[in-house]
Amino acid sequence: MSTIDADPGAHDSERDGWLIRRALTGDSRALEALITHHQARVYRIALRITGNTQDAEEVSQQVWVQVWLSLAGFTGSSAFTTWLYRIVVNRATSTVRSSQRRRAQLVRANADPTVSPGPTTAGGESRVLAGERDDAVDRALLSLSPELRAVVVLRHFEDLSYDEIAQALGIPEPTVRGRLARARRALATSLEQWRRP
Amino acid sequence: MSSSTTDPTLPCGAATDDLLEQAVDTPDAPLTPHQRACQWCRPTLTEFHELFAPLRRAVAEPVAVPPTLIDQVVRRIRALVDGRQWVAVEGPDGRIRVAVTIVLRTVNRSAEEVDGVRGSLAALVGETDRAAGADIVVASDTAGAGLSVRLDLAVDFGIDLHRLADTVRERVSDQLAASGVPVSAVDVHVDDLLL
Repeated sequence: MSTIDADPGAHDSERDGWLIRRALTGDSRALEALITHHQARVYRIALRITGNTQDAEEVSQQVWVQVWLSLAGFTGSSAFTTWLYRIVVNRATSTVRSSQRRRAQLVRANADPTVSPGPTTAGGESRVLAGERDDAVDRALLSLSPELRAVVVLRHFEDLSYDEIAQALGIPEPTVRGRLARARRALATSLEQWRRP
Repeated sequence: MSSSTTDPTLPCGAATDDLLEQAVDTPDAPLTPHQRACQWCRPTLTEFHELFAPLRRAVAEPVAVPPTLIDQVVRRIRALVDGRQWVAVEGPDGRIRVAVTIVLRTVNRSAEEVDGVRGSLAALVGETDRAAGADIVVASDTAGAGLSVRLDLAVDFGIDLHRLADTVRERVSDQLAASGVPVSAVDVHVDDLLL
């Protein structure tokens, strides 16, 4: 399974290497070119992991700021895209955890009669995504933990091999296999529930 | 819930997880001789295949990237690096201001459409000489008063560089002219040859 890539040159690692060499000399145009070539991929991954467009846009911006600020630390020992995958997955999963903590705090505050609930803002990820695309897959994905969601997105939506996922996430390949097996079981259960409510 | 998604093994001894992986990960892989003959494996694989059909549909569905997102990201990066810059095109009906980033992106895209060009970094010549914050003013109807553009290119090794440069100049000039921005010069610099 693979997604349609808007940029046919998105996988040109030599081109990326040239742009990075230029960017390291302080050429901001080179970073803009990297953004143009890879933004669609960054946004797709962020959207699948965070589950809503607002967070995905914010994550996308954070990712490129981080790329710009830490490009000097990019050793080139792995492909730029591998490095990029790690940054976007870390940013997106971190955003999901922050949202979950905020919601948990809100729930606790609402449960406490001494605390004013304040204005209710229905900002939950499931609400936003379900509103945009009422899709059992989205809901099944959102029921996974961010870590499991990330491996599913990289494997099935971005078509990365197990080895590439392991490199991108900095975890052993058996761990990738284990997470994918757990994720597939959970997805199967969710999808079956949606199919036969 | 179906027992096939909960039992770790089928009565034939096959691991449910393995069948699930096969159905989701390699749905087009041929069945093993055992699976072809097995009354448990075949229906389970079929069930998993049907169960994950929505996932395959979702994967095939393109994700619409917000059209303004690249601009937002570039603006944020530029805010870290420098200020916003504009090209002003003077015409008979007034002035049109176009962000330099838009002009440069158009130039890069036009150049990268040329066979043999792997990467393109455009800049406006003389851009650094003007006062900070001032528009780069060009006239829409005066020959020779257009933008001067410099392109640093990474191109395929072994390609005819003169022909490539001519094609790039023509493509860039035509594309910008079609957008209402006249071009007076396109300097092509081959920065790297890629295998």
